[in-house]
Parts: sequence; C-alpha cells; structure tokens
Amino acid sequence: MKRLRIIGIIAKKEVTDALRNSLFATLAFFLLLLVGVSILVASFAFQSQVAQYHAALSQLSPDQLKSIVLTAPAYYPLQMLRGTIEYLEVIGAIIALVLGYLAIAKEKGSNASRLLLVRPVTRGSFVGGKLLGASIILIALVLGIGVFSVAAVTFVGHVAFSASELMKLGLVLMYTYGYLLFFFCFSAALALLVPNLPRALMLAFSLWLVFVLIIPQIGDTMDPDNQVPGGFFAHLHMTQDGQTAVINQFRRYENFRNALEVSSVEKHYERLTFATLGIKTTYNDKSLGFIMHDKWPDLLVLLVFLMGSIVLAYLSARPSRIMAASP
Amino acid sequence: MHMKLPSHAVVEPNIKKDAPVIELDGLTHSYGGETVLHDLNLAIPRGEIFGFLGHNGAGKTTTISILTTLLRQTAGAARIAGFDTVSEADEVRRRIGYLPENITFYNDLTAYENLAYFARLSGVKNVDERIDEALGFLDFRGIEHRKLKTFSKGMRQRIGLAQAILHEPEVVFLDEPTTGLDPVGIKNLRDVILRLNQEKGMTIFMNTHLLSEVSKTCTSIGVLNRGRLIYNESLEKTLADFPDEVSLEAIYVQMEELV
Amino acid sequence: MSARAPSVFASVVRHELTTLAREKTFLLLLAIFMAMTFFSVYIGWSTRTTTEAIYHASVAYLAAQGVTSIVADPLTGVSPLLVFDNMLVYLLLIGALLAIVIGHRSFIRERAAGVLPLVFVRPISRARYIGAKLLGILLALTGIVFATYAVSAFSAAFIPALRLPAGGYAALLGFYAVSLVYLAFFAAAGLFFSVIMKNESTALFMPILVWVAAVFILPELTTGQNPVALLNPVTLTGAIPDQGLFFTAAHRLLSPFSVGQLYTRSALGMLGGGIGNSIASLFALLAYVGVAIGASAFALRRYAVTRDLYL
Repeated sequence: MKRLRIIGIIAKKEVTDALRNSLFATLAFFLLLLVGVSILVASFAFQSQVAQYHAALSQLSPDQLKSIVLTAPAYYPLQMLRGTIEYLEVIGAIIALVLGYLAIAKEKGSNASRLLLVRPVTRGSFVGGKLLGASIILIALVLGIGVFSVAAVTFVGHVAFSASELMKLGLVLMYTYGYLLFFFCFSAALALLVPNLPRALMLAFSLWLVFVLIIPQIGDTMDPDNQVPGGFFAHLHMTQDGQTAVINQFRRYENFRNALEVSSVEKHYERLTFATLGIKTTYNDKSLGFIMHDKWPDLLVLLVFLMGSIVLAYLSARPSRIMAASP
Repeated sequence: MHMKLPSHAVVEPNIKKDAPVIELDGLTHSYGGETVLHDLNLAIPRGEIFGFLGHNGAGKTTTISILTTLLRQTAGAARIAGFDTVSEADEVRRRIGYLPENITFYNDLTAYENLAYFARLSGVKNVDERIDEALGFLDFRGIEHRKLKTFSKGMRQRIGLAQAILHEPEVVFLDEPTTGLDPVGIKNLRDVILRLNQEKGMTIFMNTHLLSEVSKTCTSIGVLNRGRLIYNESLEKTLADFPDEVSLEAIYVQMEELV
Repeated sequence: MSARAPSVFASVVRHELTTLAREKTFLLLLAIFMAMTFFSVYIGWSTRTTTEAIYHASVAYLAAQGVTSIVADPLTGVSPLLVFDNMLVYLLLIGALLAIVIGHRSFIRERAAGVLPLVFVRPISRARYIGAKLLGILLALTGIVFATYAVSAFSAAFIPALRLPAGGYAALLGFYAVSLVYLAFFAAAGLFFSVIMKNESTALFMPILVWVAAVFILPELTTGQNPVALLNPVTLTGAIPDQGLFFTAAHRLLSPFSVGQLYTRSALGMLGGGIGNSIASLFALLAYVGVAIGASAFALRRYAVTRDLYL
C-alpha cells in the first residue's frame, strides 16, 4: 500500500537522523553507562549484605544461634535492576524527550517541511512515520539495555535468569517502551504547539522535572515511614497490622500523598515495574497473574497516558504548525 | 568634501588632515594554514564611500573584521584615522560604527532598550538625545517602545544603522547591507548612506557583491578576488573606462577570471 | 540634559538582568521554583505534624497491645530547622536547572541576537565585559535565593509549628548562602558550555549531564543508595551505613568530586542535621565554583567573535 510505503520512508529517515545525531548518541551512551554503574553498585551492595550476614553469624555463640534467627540475604537477579529502572524513568525519559523534539525541530520552520508537505503525505502517514521511526529507535534502545543488563547481572551474580524471570523482564521492557513513547509523543506535540522551538524544549524539560522528579519525590518525602533512616515503624518495632491500624487513622493525609503520586505517569510505571520485578518485596517470586491482579490499574493508566499523547501528537500535526517558522 | 568631526573625538591623531582615514598596509591573514588575505594595500581618504566588491568567500568579511578590531591579522597593519587596529584598538573603536550582515538583535527588548545598551557601551553621554537624533535622521521615530520581535527585516536593518551611527563615528563599516531587503528598502538604504556621507561627513566602507549598488552609491571601488585586491579606482575613472552597467559587469567578470 | 556617562560596566550588568527578566523559559522555571518554595513549607509542616501525631497514635496502639517498653519519639532530638530540609531537594533539582538556564541563556542570547561583534567594536575590554556578565548572573541568583529565604523566614515567623530556636534565622540564612554557592557552580557550567559548544541544544545538555552526574551517579557510587532514594532528604541526613570495601573505596575516591553531596553536606550542616564535615565540604564546593567561573571566563576571553559573522 502506498501509505504504508510513505510511513516506511519517513521512519527510515527518522532512524538515520537519530543515529547521526551526536546529542542522541551521547545521551544513549550515557544511559548505558548508568545502567552498568547501577548494576555494579547493586551487586556490591548485595555482596556487602552477605558479608555482614557472615560477620553477624561468626559473632554469635552456638547458644545464641538457637534463639536468634538470622536469614541469609537471598539473591534475586531481577531486584538488581532497581537502579536500571530508576535511570530509565529519569534519563530514559530525557532521551525520549530529545528524540521527540528533534523529530519535529529539524523540519519545522525550515524549507524541508515544505518539501515534505508538497508531496502526497497525509497527516496520518506523517505522524505514523515519525512514530514508527521512534518506535524502532526506542525498542532497539530498550532491548539493548535489556540484553546488557541480563549479561551484567549474570556476570556479576553468577546466577542465570530463569524462564519466568526472563518473561517478567521482557514484560518490563515492553512497559518501558510504552513509557518512553509517551515522552516522545508529548515532546513532539509541544514542539509543534509552541511557536518558539528552544522554548518548547525547555517547556518539555520543565514538565519532565515536575512530573518525573518532583511530584514522586514529594510523595516520598511525605511518607511518614521515611522520616527516620531505616523506617519510622521499624524504629518503633511496629508490626504490619499495627502500621495499617495507625495509618488508617490518617486517611486524609495518606490520600493526599497518594493523589500526588498518581498524578505522575512515572509513578504508575514505577509501581508496575517494581511489582513485576519483585523490587517491591511483597510481589517477589509471585506469579505474573498475581501481580497483574493487583497492578492492572497502573497498566491501564500507563496506556491511557500513552494513547492520550499519541492523539495529542496527531492533533498537533497540522501542516500550518509543521511549517510555522520559529520567531 | 564635507567634513564635520564628531564633538567627542578628544584624542587627535598625529596626522595630516588630508591623510587617508582607512589604511591597509601589506595586510595579510591566514586561517588554518591557508592564506585568506594576500598583502592588501589600500588608502581611503576621508569622506569617501568605498565599495568593496567580491564574490562570496573572497575575504571581504575577514577584511572588515580586521578593520573593526574584531580579528587580528597575521601580518601587515591596518589604521583607522591614524590609529593602529591592534595596538590602539580602543581609539579605533571610538571612531567606528559597524553593521554586520544578518543581525537580529535582542528580540525581547524594545528598540529603545536595544539602542540604549549599545549607546552606553560606546560611552555616549546623552543617550536619549542621541537615540532620538539617530532615529530622526533615519526617519524612524515612533517605534522606540516596540519589541524587536515585531520588526521586519527592513526595520531591523534601520535599528542596525541607528546603533552604528549613535555615537557619531568617523567611519561606518557596512557588511552586505542590502541582503534581504526589498527594492524600496534598498532605495531607502542608499539614501541614508548618501546622507550620512554628505550631511554628517562620515566615511563609508561597504562590502557588497552587487555592482548596481556600487555604481549608484560609491565614490570609489575596490575588487577583492580570492584574498587579493585586483582593482582599486575612483568611480569616476571606472565609469569613464566602462560607460554602462553592462560593460562594468562584463569587466568585473573578466577581472575575476584574470586572476 | 544628563551629562554624566553611565558606567559601561553597570550598563552590561543591568542589561544582563533586564534581558533575563524577559526570558519566558527562565520565568517559567522561576515560577515552578517559587511555587515549590511555598509548597515546601506546607510539605515540611504537614509531614512534621502528621508524623508527630502518628507517633502518638502508635504509642496508644502499642500500649493497648500491652507493650510496656516503647521507644522514645525519634523526632525529639531532630533540629526544628530540618522542617526546611525538603527545600534542599528543590534547590538540588529545580534550583540547579534554573541556574543552568541562567548561565546558558546569558551567552546563547548574545549569539542568537548576533550582537557580539557590535559589543566588541565598542571601547569595552573583554575582561570588563566578562566581569560584568558574571556579576549580573550572580546578582540574579542572589535575588532568587534571597526570595526563597524570605519565604522560609516569614513562614517560620508566622506558623507556630515552624517556630525557630534562637539563632535559627541566621542558620537558615547560612543554609541559603551555601545554596547560592551551589547554584553559582551550575550557572558557571551553563555559561561555560554555551561558550564552547557550537550547537545550542548540545550546549544546554552538557551542563545537564554534569548535573545528572553530580546529583545521581556520584552519590550512588559513593553510598550504594538507589538514585531516586538520594532525593529523599532523610536519606541525605541519615548516616551512610558501612557497606564494605567497594563503597568505602568509592567513597574515599569519588566523594571529593561529588558536587551534589558537597552541597547537601554543607547545607544540612547549616540546618543542624549534618553528616561529615560540613565546613570542609563548603570549602571544597567554593573551590569548584572558583574553577567553574574561571573556566567560563577563560572560554569567553578566547571566544572568536568573528565566528558568528560567516553565516
């Protein structure tokens, strides 16, 4: 079909453009470096936990060992990926923002956009081509990080991933693609809607700051359990039941905190991935069915954000906006 | 010749009044191992409108950059009103105005704010008065409090001219001033250049690649080809040698090919 | 008719502030920053009072369960100034970006307007121009930081739960003064890259990468904490647990380069919640600011104005 061919042509050009762009290359390399660092750090943190466990064991007399139960730290490869996910949340989003911005900025206002629009290119194929191009780049990036982190975790932990762990990781990579594509569309739409291009980039960046860093951080800061290093309730030796009973008296405060958190797309992505990977320990080693039973609302919200951003990008891609010169 | 020295020119150069106001003495410049200006020798008397012709990339902007103290030549010397452009750069700067090609200015500031900034940097005392005078001279009053982002190319060009003459310089350098202007804009610019020269006694040094402009405005011309000065005559003599524009153009093309 | 020539130096400083005040991008970030400053008072106040209430509810719950030995309120010994510690996170994040934008725009603005040749054909020395520009940037940062101090100090004066002890206002001022030093580092970084980088967006992203390294990567390597956890003020205040050879070595090796941690350590020291030597951290931070300002001044001095003439 002719339209599909045009989408393919645009997508191919998008990929070539991104690969030639030094800023994109720098950021992608940076992200890979961060993933490497975070896995290394996680494995060292785990090793020192093991060392502490052995040190504690050696200090206890055989008598004490009977009364005190020490649990050996268990190694879960997927939990090593916490830092990786956090960097994807933060830096991955920046990369997607830059890609979305560049996808529009390089043509907007220059005569290149006119050359494109005098050809039989519909709005759908224009947006479709850009989306397909971005998808190829983002999927390659996400897959690259996936393969790299599996290799790194296997290498430092000497423990191979099980089939179900690989499946969970695969699912998380898919969520990541959706999360990044949301930022791509959002930033591309801003580049179309805001007349001044550098300002559009800064606006995208400011919104990233608010929704990716600040709002989730507020929720975290306001968490009563985070007020004391090591945990407020742990400090008081409260049981889980006790915690729930006490927190239930402060529903309004907790609701406010939760409302802040759910307004950020990042938090949904985080809840979903942390549960799937078992980083949130209540979901560790649980079946996918069990996890999805609890976390489907987060997946739904993530999808709604993604669909919304695609619709926004499509509606913004009016020829007059694509050609509009930056003042 | 119309002569009127600006009132704030306090340091008088130790030279004769009829000495050239722009002098190039074996001016040579190399960049990245390549010589872009070859041994330029030129003397332009006070009161001239000098048209500096050449193709794109011939070295015109490099020459203007050296004459306006923005760039240091690798060999030779240049003097403005008797002052060396390297060792006496500040004295040179007090005596020149400059309008580069493709200038946009601060879009978020008003015309007045843009001009006041450059006036102050030039050390102008009565800023408001000078801005009003310059805008009046350019027939451009009434736009002082509009932001530059609302200005057309032609309007920006006039602000560019205003900042170049605010401090009443002796010499004004214009780099391809007609770029992007419509015929009316070009005609207005030509009138302004002539009036700056005749009413204010300013010497004008103008880079251009448009022959038609040179023959309508300039009193003398120089042709630069690949960094070498291949022709330098008064317009009178040039027009006597090549009576119509077609032959002028023909000879220009021929000159380019000669070297 | 005025006869006195306005000082060229003062004109450049004034120009720097006027043009900045007209930048929509800057104003947007400033608005976010100031909004967060106000909000942070609420966050600090509400978190502190709620946690106190939760402690009392927990004590009641435990007593009802028959528990006799109950741990003392962990918040009792905590400095009341630490209510303002979440401001540190906004300075660390938005403040730094705001500073980067101020430094970045300071020079990019001149380049985009194409006016640098117009400045340097006038009788002003490069050194003086650079000095005036840097002073303008510093004044802008000081104004912003002082405004945030005013918000914190006013709320401390008028909200009973936030009342400060004797010397509290001075300590708070100290906290913001340290923050100014931190912001100056990123403004200088923004300026530096805007001078040496040809491409505008690369010039903006380079200092942002420096910031990511300072706020996420180096602290992660030296503490073993996950990157996002590092944005929680309590994680910052808490002592770093001994985590074995790697982190001890990384801590020793990389801590001196971790500008973000130097800042949090010295700033928290001012609020009375410090870990490590806050004065030494402050001096190290000052040294970094010196280097960053020096580098940007040097780059500006060497900048070829004619570069923008050949278009």
